[in-house]
Amino acid sequence: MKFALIIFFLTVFLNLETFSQIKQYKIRRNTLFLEAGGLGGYGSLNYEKLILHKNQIMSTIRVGISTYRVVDFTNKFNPDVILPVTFNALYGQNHKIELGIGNTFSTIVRASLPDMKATRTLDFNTIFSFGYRFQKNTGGVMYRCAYTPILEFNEYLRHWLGISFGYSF
Amino acid sequence: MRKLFLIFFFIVITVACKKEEFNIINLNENRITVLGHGGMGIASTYPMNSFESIVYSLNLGADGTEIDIEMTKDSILVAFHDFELSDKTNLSGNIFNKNWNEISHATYKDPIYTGYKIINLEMLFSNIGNNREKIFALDCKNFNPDTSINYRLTYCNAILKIIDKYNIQNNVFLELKREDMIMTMKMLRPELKIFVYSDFNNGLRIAKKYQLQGIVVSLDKTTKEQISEAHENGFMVTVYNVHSNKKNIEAINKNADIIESDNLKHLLKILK
Repeated sequence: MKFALIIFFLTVFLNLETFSQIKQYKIRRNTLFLEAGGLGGYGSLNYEKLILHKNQIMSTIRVGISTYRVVDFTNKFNPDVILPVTFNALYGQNHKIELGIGNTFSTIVRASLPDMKATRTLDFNTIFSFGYRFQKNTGGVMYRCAYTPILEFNEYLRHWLGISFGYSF
Repeated sequence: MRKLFLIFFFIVITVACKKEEFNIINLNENRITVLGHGGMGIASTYPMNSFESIVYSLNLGADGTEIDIEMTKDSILVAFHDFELSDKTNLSGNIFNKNWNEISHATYKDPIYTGYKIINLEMLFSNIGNNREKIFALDCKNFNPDTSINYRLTYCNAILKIIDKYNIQNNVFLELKREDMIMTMKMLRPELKIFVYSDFNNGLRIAKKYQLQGIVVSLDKTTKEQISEAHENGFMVTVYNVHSNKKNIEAINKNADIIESDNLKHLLKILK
């Protein structure tokens, strides 16, 4: 009987503990943020989607867009487009550590030999990010700073930094 | 209340749209020649002296552009500003110590992802079409410490070869810093328009000594009175270090003949 009571109380206690850990809030999966510097070059507008969440570990995919100019050197509308795409792993509750890897697709209009005409080329650049962010799982403002080294044209390593401010919803 | 608001709105619009008027007195028929500084200037997303920067400045309506030129070991003139290649490109060393084929693949470091290429003057003038009718102020950078007559002749002849090939002698100004180079160029082609690149007093002395077209001076270090003095002596004045809207207006008010602006769009807007 004693043994049965102990089992009963333990069961109830453990169940209560379990119930108390059930998250009562809705996790916000979308984030929009502006990044100064960082993977878009001088700055970018970004959308991030939470794709996996387990305990304090999260996985996200981020897509950004940036440009340097919308008219080319012949003064015609012909924008440069820079698209950073990264997969990120985040660890932490409100204060998170971020690790990311991805690629920036850059399509830039340059003068090309032999006739120096305006020509658009697509280049691939491997990108990384190691950073810190403040972001509540329940949504709201997000701040982030990161070291974002870039392997430009997959050839030259560039040390780079990014600071971000955004909103999760 | 509504009437008051409309009057206020009208005044704001009128003041905002009022075109600035300038009373320009100089040796350039009282007008200012607007040049880009290395094309679109130091703050542009196009690197200075790149093909893109130079051609864009001409396509925007500038009268011409300043171009920095250096010479390789094999006598090719390259549009580049700095002593060290590594300051702006993915290569290192000095242009005067390299042959063109060693640097022809150099790309500018900034802005990131863009990969604009370094160019030589042959590539520029053979591909700018009608823009060849514009004015080109060739800022001759002589970083090579060689002062021998041989080097000077090679450098000056390389410039003359381009000028003659593209028939641009009437729309080229040469900006020379070294007195020995001025002397050599004067000896080879006395009719070319040569400006001395110096501080004002030294520039005025050299301009008088060699009967030059004018002086190239930093806007910050030159007063309106000094520019008047140069004009009284028959010398035109080109100003550089013109980085902002305020500096553009200052350069106009000082009666410069030629302005090499880093803020070309604004200068064109207020003068044209």
